[in-house]
Order: sequence, then structure tokens, then C-alpha cells
Amino acid sequence: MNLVDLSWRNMKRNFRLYTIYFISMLTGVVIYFTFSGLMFNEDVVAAIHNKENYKMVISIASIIVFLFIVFFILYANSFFMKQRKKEFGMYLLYGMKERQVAAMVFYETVFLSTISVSSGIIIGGLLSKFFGKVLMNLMRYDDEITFAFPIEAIVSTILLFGLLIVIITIQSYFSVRRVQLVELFHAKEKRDKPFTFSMPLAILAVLLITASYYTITSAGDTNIWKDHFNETLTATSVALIGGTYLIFRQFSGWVLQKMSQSKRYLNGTNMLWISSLRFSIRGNTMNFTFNSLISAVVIFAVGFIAVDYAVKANVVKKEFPNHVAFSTQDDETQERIEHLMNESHPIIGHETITGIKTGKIPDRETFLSYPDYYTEEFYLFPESQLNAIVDLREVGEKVDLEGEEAIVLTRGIDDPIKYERPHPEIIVLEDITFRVIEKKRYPLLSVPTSPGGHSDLQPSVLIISDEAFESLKEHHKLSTFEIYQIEDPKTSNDLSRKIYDIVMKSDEPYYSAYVDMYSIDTESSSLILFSVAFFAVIALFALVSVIYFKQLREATEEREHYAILRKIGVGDAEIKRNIRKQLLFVFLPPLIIGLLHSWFLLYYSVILLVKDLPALTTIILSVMGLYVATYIIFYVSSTSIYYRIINEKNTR
Amino acid sequence: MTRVIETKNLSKSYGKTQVLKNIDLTIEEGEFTAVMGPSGSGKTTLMNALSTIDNFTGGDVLIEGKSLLDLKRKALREFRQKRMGFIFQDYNLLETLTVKENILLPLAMQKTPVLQMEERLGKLVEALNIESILPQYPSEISGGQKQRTAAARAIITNPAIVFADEPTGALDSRSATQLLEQIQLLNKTFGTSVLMITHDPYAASYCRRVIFLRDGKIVNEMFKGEQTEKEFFDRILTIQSAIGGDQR
Repeated sequence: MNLVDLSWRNMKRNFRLYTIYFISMLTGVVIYFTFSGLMFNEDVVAAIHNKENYKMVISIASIIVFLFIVFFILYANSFFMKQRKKEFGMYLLYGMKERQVAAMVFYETVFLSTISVSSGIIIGGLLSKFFGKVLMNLMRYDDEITFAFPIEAIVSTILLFGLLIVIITIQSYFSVRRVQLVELFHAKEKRDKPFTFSMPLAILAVLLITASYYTITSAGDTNIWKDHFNETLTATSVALIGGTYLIFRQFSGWVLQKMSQSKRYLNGTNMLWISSLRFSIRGNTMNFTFNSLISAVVIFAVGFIAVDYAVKANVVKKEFPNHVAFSTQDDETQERIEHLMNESHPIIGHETITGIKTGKIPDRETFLSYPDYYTEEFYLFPESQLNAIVDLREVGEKVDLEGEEAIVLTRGIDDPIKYERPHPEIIVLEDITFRVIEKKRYPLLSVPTSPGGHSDLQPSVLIISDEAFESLKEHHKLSTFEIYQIEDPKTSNDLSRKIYDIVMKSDEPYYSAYVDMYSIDTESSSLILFSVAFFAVIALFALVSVIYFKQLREATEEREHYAILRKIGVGDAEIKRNIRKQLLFVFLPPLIIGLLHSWFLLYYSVILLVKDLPALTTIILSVMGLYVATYIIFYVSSTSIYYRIINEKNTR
Repeated sequence: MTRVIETKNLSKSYGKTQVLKNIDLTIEEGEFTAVMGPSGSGKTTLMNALSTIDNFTGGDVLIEGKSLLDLKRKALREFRQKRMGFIFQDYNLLETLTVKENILLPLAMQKTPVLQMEERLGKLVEALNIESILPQYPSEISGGQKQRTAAARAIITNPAIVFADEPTGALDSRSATQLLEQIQLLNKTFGTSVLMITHDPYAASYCRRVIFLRDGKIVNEMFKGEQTEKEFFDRILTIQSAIGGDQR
């Protein structure tokens, strides 16, 4: 019997253990391949407008995905190695060399990896259609995505898992070397006394959590966040982390101790799982703390990014209301452009606006909260032109100005203001004074864009009364702009590129198109959302599986415990109930604490601020739902595997 | 006196090997019986069959007049939980429970009211002298104390019979003597029947009746009568060497 033969026998005999390990590996391959598959998927790449950006984001993301997988598989492997410690000990006892044992593990790893990589690639390829579709939907494209197995993705998956095999083999070799033969002859390690909690620390745990929640909720009411942001953030994080740790260690210790003093403790299986949990507090604290905090951060990140994604589409619509706008061309060019538009995206509305460009206005910060985002020169437009655009867009309110009255138009973050009397003055065109009655958020001329995604400063605009404009226009050079609304502007990328090229040839060109910003913003925020959601799934999967593996290891250790219960006449139903309760107390607290943390973080940083987004709750609830579902799946499967493990004959 | 256990032609085979051969055995209420015999004589198989842990292939076992053949799995389990107690060589105490909790476990499983639990515990604690170790965990007490805890756990349900499988096997002679005296005491005070499997003639000498098993058959049986432990021990030794088998 050689080593390969021995490996083969091991796998057949120890099927369940290998299955768990195999599934972890398979999950890793599927996730990684799906991700790198998307990077090289021709259909997806063809649909994306900003290809460099896409490749960069996806390759950074796949590196992070890979790191997660390395962490996850190394954890799975160390679990696997610990489970097999006895077996390795026996081999060593019968005179096998450590290197031979390691070689045997290597053969097994190669065998398992070959199967998991090849089946993972197939599953990942099939899934890539689905995920490609999801990505396209997020970007709001409707391109068809076919099943794809890009050769680059296959090669990179194989290479990376080749590397992983090397790492696993090294890890296995060291864990074989660590096997102490003496351990084989030792009885099971002695358990200590159960954990004794300290009352002040249990109270401190609750206080810390309450305090940090309170600080988070008071973000809107007090100035503490504004004035001392760094200090408050540090204090809150420290309190939250410390509080979480103490909750799992001291507070849960207190709860369990209280439970063990209650009358119901001596009733049925209560005594069994409660005491068992009291013994495992020490070993679980770090694990649970880590788990809750990371899940809170992950859910928060996904919620935050999802909201950002959802808000962005609206913001672009508001900030770039002109589907296409450019400085007026000569008649022939103008006709050419309109012809181009009608070919692919028929014109719905068109308006020409005429204004006067001023010199640099030095005191624009009086009216603009963030003057750096605006041009120093102003454009003066008469009220009638603004009203015409309001008609064209069917968005906004018409204005009525008289004499020296004027309105400053702002964008985005600049809050609208109605000025009190006496109205502040603005002096333009050297000696013409206007009195600004209002600051209005209305992008008459949006930020100049290019199809490549670059943008420029927002043109500053002052709306003046028609009669004031009439008297000025004789003596000043006029600038005219063509503003078009077209059908289905979201797909007008090619059109925009053509018009841009034409317009840029003219003098002092101005060009701004909705689609330029739309595709850049949507693509990048979709990509980020997609990647973050992917990380979140993997991170949650990895975190929950840490609890899962730990439980399986405990199950192996508790076999004897359950054998005793059976001997004294405890039935299957009671044993199952006991396992269910015990594991519920292992899976539930980190889930609840993680959800609570992330809820507080999300609610007060996002939900309260973003009001007019009905999809918000749906997004956040579905992220949390996914998280809960992951936990439920792991909980259910670990109870059933736990039960199977403790029912196996103790080989000891 | 009622018959706690009665076997009729009890047989058990694994494949073609017959381990128990037509055993007829009756154990009356309040008896303290030892089953002795060399390794492989079928002692453990017999006990497993009697205690419903394992099935048998021929004959019948009646416990308190009820045939095991008529009882369903669930009824068997309930029967085992309520009417039988067990003491094992390796104690089988749960490490995560205190001594007191370990003893009360079988009652907790039957959802006995707490007051009743305390009452029953009180009586046993005195007889077994384990008052001081009640709040301690198994890892903190000695082997003898562990086995006394196990004995208390076996007896707290007021079982019809306690099965003890080599209870002194892992104990030093002083603890063994102490334990045997206590089981004897429990047997006398509470009238619990005890069936003990043992290799050890010394342990067997504390019983009132000794059954010798060899190759799956009962080959001899003796009663202590009015003899002292020492006298009974000598007789057991004689019989044991006559039968043959291991002299441990």
C-alpha cells in the first residue's frame, strides 16, 4: 500500500469531513472564478463604456476576494488538520516519517483541489451569466450576457489555486510536525470551571453599548460630532468594540448564570446546554466579537454603498437635466448635429438660450457656499429664458423679476436661500448693480462634460429681469447655447461622442451631456456596489463558517458527553432539542448584536439623511435579510451535522 | 418478593457465534447479585440484553413482569430512564455539570418537581457522604468520589434495578472498598436491586449472590448466606479457579 493508495482510502473512509473541506474549497473557486470571469467576459466588457476603470476596479476586487478566500481556506484547512490530529499521530506512531504524512496530505489536497477547481470553474462559468446580468442591470444596460469561460480567467484561477495548494501544504506540514505523540496517550484535556462573570463588567458592557448608541443617535442634535469629530469617532468605536467584547464575555456570562439559578434550570435539558455554554464562553468571546463587529461593518458598507448607488442616479438626473447642451454652432453644423440626433435619439424638445458673459466676479463667495466649484465668470440670462427652459424640462418653477432684481443659480450642495431686505448687491460688467433676492438650486447650464467622463467647473449663472437684459444686450457680446431633450438619453453614448467631437472644433466651446455623467457615475457606482456586495457575501460566509467549524470541532469533542446521555436514557428527541438550543445560543447573539450595530450605524448616517428614496428600506432590509439567511442556513446545517457527528461511534 | 428480572432461554448471537446460550436467570427485588466470569464469557452482553441497551436474538427478558419483546423503542427508553440505573467503570459523569447537577440529571430529564428532587437528593447525600462535594465539578474530585456520584445518579430515580459494570475497575482498593460498602448500604436501606458485573472476587464478595458465567452459559451460582465477606471471598476464589479463566 503506497501513500496515494492510503490517501484514497482516507477520503473514502472519512467522507463527511472531506466533504465539508471540499465544499469550502469549491465555494472559494466558484466565487473567485465568477469574479475573474466577469473581468474577462467579452459581452460585459463590450457593454462597459469606461473599460479601464472597470478592469481596475474588478482586478482590485478580485485581489480582495482572493485574500478572503485564502483566509477562509486556510481556516478550513486548519480545522481539517486538527480534526485529523489523531490519525496523523497514529501514522507517526507506526513509523511513518513526517514528510511522508505531509506528502500524503499533499496528494489529498491536489486531488481535492483538482476536483474543486474544475467543478468550480464550471459552476462559476454558469453563474457568470447570472452575475453578468446582475451587473448589467445595476448599470441599467440591457445587453445580453452569454455563458463564458474566458481562458484568462481559467488560467488565473488555476494559478492562484496552485499557489493556494502550496500554502496549504506548508500549513499542513507544520501542523503534522506539531503533532505530539504524547497527546495520543493522554486522556481528554481537563475542563476548567465554568466562566465566572464580574457584575461591574457586565454592567459596564451594557453601559458602553448604550453610550455608543446614544452618541451615534445624537449625531443630528448636538455639535459634538461637528466640533470634535475625530475624538468622538475614536471614543465611540472604542466603546462599541469594548462593549461588544464585554457583552459576549461578561454580560452573557451573567445571563447564563442567572439562567442556571432559575427554577427552570433543573427542568429537562436546560441544565445541559446552559452549563455547556457557560464552559464555552471563554473560547467563543473573541470569535463572536470579531464576527459581530465585522458583520456590522460589512452590512453598513453595503447599505451605505447601495444607498449611494441609488441616490447617484437621481443626483445625475437633477444635476444634468440637459440631455445635450452645447454652445451654438454655425447653421450647417447645427443641422448636421440635429440630423445625427434624429437618426438614433429623436429630439423631443429644443430651446436656444442667449446670455451675456461677464468678466471675473471677485465677490462670488457672498452667494456661493462652495465658490471653488463655479467659474469666476458669470453668465447673465433673462428671466424669460429660464422660464422657457422650465417649460422645456417640465421641472422647476418660473420666476418673475423686476428692475434690478436678480437670482443666483446654484447646484448640488449649495442650499437655496431667499435673501432678506436689504438684498445683497452684485456688481457685474464693471458698473451694473443687481440686487440678489434669492439663491436657487437650478442647473440651467449644467457642468461641462466629455464622453470620456471628465467634467469641468459649473458655469455661474445670474438670472436678471427681461428689461434689464434688453438694455444690456446692445452693448455686450452675446453667448448662445442650444439645449436639447432627446428620447432615451441613457443610451446616447455614441451620439454624445460624435456631437462632442464636432462642438470641440469651435471657439470657446461649451458641451454638457446627461449621458456622459450618467454612464460614468452609474458604471462606477454599480461596480463598487457589485464588488462590495460580493465581498459582503464572502465575508459573511467566511465569518459564519468560522462559528460553524468551531461547532463541528466541539461536536467531535462532545461525542463522549452525548454517549453518556444516551447511556443514562436520554432520547433522540431530547438530544436534538438540546443541540438546537445550544447552537441557537451560539449563532443568535452575534447575529443580533451585528444587526443592531449595523442598524444604528446605517440609520443615523444614511437613513435619516436620505429622505426621498423609497427603495432605501428595501435595499437595507435585503442586505440584512441576506445576512440573516446566511446565518439560518449555517445554523440549520450545523445542527444536523452536529447531531450526526455525536452519533458516530467514538473511535477513541 | 417480586421478580425484577426474569430471562427465559435468553440467547444472543453475532452471526454464527453464539455469545449467550439459553440463559434462565431470575433476579428478585432487593437482591445484590454479581455476575463473574472470564473475558469473553458474555458478561457484558448479558448485561446489555438485560438493560435493554442491546437486543437479543432468542428467548425473552421480562422486567417487572413485562416482556421486552412487547415494548416499543420509546417505551423501552422510558423504561430504562425510569426503572433502571447505571454505574459504569469510567464513571460517565458530565464534565460541564456539578456533582449535584450530575446526580439530578435523570430527574431533570423526567421533569420532576424541584422540591421532590431536593428531597431525594438529601437522603442519598447522607448515605453516600458526598455533601461536601455537591457544588464541585467532576474534574475537581477523586475517582472514588466520582463513582459515588455515579452511584447516586443511578439510584436517585428509585429504579427497580441498578446495573453496575465493573464499578470498582478504575478505583484503588481503599476507594473500592468504600464504594462497595456504600452500594451494600444503599441496597439494604433503599431495597434497590443491584446487578454488578465484575472480574474481581473481592468486589463480588460484597454481594449476596454470585453467578458464574462461562462461554455464554451459567456454570455456577452461590449465595453468601450468613458468611462474612472474607469467607465468601475465599469460596468465590475456589470456584473461580475451578471454573478457570483469568485470574486478575
